[in-house]
Amino acid sequence: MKNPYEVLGVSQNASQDEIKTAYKELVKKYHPDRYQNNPLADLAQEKLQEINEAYDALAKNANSNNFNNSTSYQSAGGQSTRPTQEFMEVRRYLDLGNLPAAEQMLAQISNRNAEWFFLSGILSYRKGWYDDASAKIKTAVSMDPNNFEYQRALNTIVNAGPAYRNASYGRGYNRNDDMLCKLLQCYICTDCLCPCF
Amino acid sequence: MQGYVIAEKSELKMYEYDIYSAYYCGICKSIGRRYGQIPRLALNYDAVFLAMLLSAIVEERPIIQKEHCLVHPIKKKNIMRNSDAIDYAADTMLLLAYYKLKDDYSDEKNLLAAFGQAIAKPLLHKLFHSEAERCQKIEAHLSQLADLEKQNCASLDQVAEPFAKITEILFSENHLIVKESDRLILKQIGYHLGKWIYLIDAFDDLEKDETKNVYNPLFSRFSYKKGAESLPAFKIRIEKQVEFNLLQYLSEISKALALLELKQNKGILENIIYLGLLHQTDKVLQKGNTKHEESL
Repeated sequence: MKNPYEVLGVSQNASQDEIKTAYKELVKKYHPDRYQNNPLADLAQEKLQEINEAYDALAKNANSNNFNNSTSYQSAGGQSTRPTQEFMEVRRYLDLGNLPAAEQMLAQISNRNAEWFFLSGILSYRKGWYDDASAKIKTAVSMDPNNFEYQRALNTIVNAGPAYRNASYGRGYNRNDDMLCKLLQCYICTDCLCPCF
Repeated sequence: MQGYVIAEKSELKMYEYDIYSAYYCGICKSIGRRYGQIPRLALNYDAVFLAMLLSAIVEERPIIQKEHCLVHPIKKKNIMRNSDAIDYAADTMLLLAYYKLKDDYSDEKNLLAAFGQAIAKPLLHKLFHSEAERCQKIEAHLSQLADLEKQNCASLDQVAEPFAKITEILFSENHLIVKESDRLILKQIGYHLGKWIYLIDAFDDLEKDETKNVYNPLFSRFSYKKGAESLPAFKIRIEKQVEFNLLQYLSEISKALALLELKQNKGILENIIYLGLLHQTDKVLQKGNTKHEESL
């Protein structure tokens, strides 16, 4: 096993609170929800397991969190009607990661209902075709606004960009990289510090 | 590649900046050593990202030497030496630069490009020979891309796919990577970076393409009617959706990077992914938009 302190990125003499904070941050970073429909989901899962093990090793009263990463499409969530055999088949292919087969099935289905748009959208998302995916999943949501599964998929896609932006801001990204503004700030700071201005 | 992939220099630490520059000069020297002086003109920072990324995974130990260089004859520069990742990134960049010249010539009958291509070809014959298999793949994808562009393809995803596949190949199919999981992550980074470059380049070229009256995927995707709508208005209309796509790619790249075990260069790579690429995105999206220009 790797050094749990290194895994959590804390020093050897970190307090329980520091460990907990670092652990929570890392869980957020590698959470299965962020890697849903992502070819790297398994690697993220391994990383998370490593983090969980490290935390368990360091936390005195370990309350192990088990994250469930089975984002299976086989059980249609919130479907008011029973899904047809064909859509079940498409979901199965998506679960297996067999995208060409799923694509072929979808092309053959003539019933272009909300479910069809949703599954086509998920397929596009898996391919990395986000422009396409967002349009299709939006269509699915507008056709069946009460479907929680569609809504959730759309939220995941819509939130990815803002989440990345937040991470950048957290690292000191400054949108108004405005020299004048910076100089003025300096001037104000000097003004506070130095009585001769 | 067009040189969009750069670090946010103001946010680099001093020593990081030195390393970053040493990679840049290292690539330049690597080209000069193996292909002569002229191809060195093709150098840009995109290759530095690839070199640093591979360097961080394969755990090589490059050394920094101080050497003279043609461009800066007085001052000695830091040069990164003894790195396979640098040689590989240099080759990759030359291939891309060569194909870009070829493409410019066939697209626009640009004589300078024709001239450059004619000069480059014999100089790079060694490279074409050693990279024959990869060149074949790249050429196949490029001819797909040319077909899609000829058909005025209106699907952003479809038209960006061939270029994304090329960068995917260049990032992941090389002899330096040993771990299969690393290869998978680099595939993901290469693919999404390719899509980001293709799209940001398309947005950046809107004015130029409108003047020349040539294909631009964004005109087709968002049905631009020349004359019926002004270009600035068109840009404002599509900005949100373009930004959505660009950030989607960057989000995927950042998630993939988080899974890599980086043995060096971590700060610089994160700077490029989280700050440099986002800055480029915002800059290109706001170009020519007077509302934002006032604050700059």
